[in-house]
Amino acid sequence: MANNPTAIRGRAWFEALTGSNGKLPNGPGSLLVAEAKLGNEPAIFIALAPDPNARFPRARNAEVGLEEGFYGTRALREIMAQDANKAVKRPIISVVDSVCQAYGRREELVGIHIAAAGIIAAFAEARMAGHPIIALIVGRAVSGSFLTLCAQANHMIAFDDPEVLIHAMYKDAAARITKRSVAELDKLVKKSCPWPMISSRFRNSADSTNC
Amino acid sequence: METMHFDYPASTTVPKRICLGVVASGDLEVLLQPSKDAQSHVLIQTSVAGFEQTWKAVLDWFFSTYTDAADIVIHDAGATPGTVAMRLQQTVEESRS
Amino acid sequence: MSLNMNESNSRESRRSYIELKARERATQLLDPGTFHELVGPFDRMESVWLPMQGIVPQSDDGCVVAKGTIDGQPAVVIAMEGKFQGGSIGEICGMKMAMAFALARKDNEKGIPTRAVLSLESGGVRLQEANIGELVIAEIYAELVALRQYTPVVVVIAGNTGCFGGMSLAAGLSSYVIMTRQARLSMNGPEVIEQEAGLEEIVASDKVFVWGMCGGAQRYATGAVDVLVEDDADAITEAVKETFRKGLPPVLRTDQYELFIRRLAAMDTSKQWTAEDIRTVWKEIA
Repeated sequence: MANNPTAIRGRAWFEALTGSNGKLPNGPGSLLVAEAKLGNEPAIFIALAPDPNARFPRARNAEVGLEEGFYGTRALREIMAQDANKAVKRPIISVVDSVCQAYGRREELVGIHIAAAGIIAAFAEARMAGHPIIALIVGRAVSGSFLTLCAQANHMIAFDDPEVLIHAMYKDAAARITKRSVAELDKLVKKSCPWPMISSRFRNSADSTNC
Repeated sequence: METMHFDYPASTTVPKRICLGVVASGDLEVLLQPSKDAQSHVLIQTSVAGFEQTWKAVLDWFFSTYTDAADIVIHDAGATPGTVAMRLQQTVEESRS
Repeated sequence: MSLNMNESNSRESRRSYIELKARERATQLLDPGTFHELVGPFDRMESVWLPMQGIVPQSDDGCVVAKGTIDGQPAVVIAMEGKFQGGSIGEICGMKMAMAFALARKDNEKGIPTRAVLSLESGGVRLQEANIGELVIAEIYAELVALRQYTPVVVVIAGNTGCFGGMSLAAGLSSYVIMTRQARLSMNGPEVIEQEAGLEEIVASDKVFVWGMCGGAQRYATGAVDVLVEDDADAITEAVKETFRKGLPPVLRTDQYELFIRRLAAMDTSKQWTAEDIRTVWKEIA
């Protein structure tokens, strides 16, 4: 798996924005949720962080795994329930530095596609209910972590930074599957819009699809 | 990917437009519809370059009996001349059915 | 003697759904004579990105969208062609899928109960269209979630390509999943898991293990799939109709998170698990 030296950015930005460590009383150590002021209004911040003590060995580096999916869904649903009768729903800011989904046998046996779908539905229904959803991409948002933590947002904001990667798949895996070399992929990146691998190029494709 | 064009004379009309086949390895997709003028026009996009003469031979054979004025588009993913000929035949049969 | 002949006749008359192309599958799922294709092959909505990379496009970009009726009710069917680029989701086919769901949603908002069926085999996002594919998949999810509050969204998974990646999540979001034994449903493909996690995690070439993990029978046994069907075109069509007759599901799969949390808490994560372990715990905690 591609190294993710910046898996710590999620926690760093979460703590800087909320002043909280985001620990849930009944949740995995990887899931950070807290309410904090955004300007003058209360907002919910949610992020994933590495947890070397995570119960699932394949989800210890801020991947979107089973617990992140199911407990993350629960956290979002609780927020929606709390605001159900309010005229103004709290914004939900998804602070994202997550390498991808968890790759593992346990994950597929249980059904990580259901765990991931849970988070997607929760973000989508929160948005439909009137919660402004903002994805703040401070590091990696690739494949499953992009689809679950970012892609249902009203707006996606990304740092213009070489460690911010927003993509369908990492270069080495993409090269293997498309039977091209990484050098050939790099040439394609320059030529062809769907391939941007760094955030400044992604802005172009995001604009063009009106997201 | 290679793109080729061929034109052939025509004298009758295509009864029905047809799309057949899948762009899968060793297969091809054929679209056939009435052309806007009294000629047939064939556009080929193929994943295997360098076989223009083979394509011409297959099409010469096909148009030796096919007289409808057709716009034909072929998306080919490496089908053999035999498979191409068969798909073209199938397309004609479907357009007449 | 006559019983045997009837049996062999019905065996011979049983048509494979898996062998049908996407257009034939869409026709099969709709009531006879009601199939009307939208953005079909002659509209030539093709990928512009594939030719740039030397890959021959398909006129419908590997996705058939058709309106018609199912069981007499207005319906839209989306069928992916697994033999074109592995049924992968690119800009055009993804937008066709998203807009088909949007069309059904807009009908429902006006009181027309248009239902939607998605016939899948799909390897997930089309890597040659990478980020655009991901964005379009996000649109698909948004529309599916919006539509499913009005009418069931039924996903049919059949075929050798299976249902992986971004489309496995579409199955997870759907109201009901109908699946054949031969198919697989998994977020990450076994080859990718083997590459990332090694042979101790999974041996991708071990077909018995792989189908035990994510094949139709296992998925049905663990409730990830609602209906297990034979590879029989008429049986699948009937299963789709019967599923719509059930109406909206009492609980959506994405709302079952508390149940899954209880199940995960009961399992020993220090060991590797087998397909049987899951079936056992899933039965105990239901």
